[in-house]
Amino acid sequence: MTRTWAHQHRSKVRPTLGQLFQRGELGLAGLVLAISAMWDLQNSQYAPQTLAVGSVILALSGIMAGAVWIEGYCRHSTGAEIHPKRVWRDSRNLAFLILSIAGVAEILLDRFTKVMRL
Amino acid sequence: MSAPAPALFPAQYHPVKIRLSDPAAAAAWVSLVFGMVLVFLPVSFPHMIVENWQNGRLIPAMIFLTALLNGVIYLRAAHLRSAKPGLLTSAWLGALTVGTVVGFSVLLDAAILHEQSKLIPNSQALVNEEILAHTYWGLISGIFLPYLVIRFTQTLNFQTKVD
Repeated sequence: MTRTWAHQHRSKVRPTLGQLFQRGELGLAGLVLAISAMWDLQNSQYAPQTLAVGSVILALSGIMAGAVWIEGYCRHSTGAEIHPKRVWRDSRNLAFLILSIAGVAEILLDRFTKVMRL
Repeated sequence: MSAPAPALFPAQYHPVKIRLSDPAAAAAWVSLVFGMVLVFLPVSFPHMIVENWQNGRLIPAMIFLTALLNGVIYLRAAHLRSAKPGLLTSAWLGALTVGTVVGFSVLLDAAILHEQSKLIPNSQALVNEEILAHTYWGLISGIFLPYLVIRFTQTLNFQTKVD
């Protein structure tokens, strides 16, 4: 999309993924993904202990990912010292964690639903 | 002129500043590997986990694996930031790792009792799924939660010093 935009506006801008999400926007995406995975988990038939454990881990990871975005935004707004590479790395790793957890949680939920139907 | 005596200029001690992205990346890879093994070995992998749980080997194996991974993450962070690993932080990290995994095993026992109380024909299959799920959440928490606590402890320490 950036290349299309650059072509349309005859610009030579070629941002990398790190530059596109340098303010930690991936952290916000991670938070949204964590909330939707928690929603799926809460609708399952797992034991309450399992639901609580999964939800707490997803919530903590989501909050920490969201905090990276919030901190980046606040630092940028107030003119405080900001390290775009560090913000990008933190938000990328936390979003990767949430994506991975959400994926495995969906696999576990699918297995559990199949066993319940037997 | 002679060089200053080393005792007058002791080497500055830099504690390892933990960033959550380090354990997050490690936990993400562990989660990805767990998911892939579960997809490619949907019968034998859960069977192996349940069998180890029945033999009482699952929790010690999880403690060993998470403690080893956390140690590697901590030493790598110390190496990358040119800091000296602290004995107190290492001990705290180890205790938190063991505590998290043991806490999850207690929760697993409660979840198993809950599934067995349902009195349905396939309750054993549900118990097996609970063991699988708790193993996964225990592994991820054993890596991520201790560093989360250490991160907050370090932030609080820093704020106390600033105040």
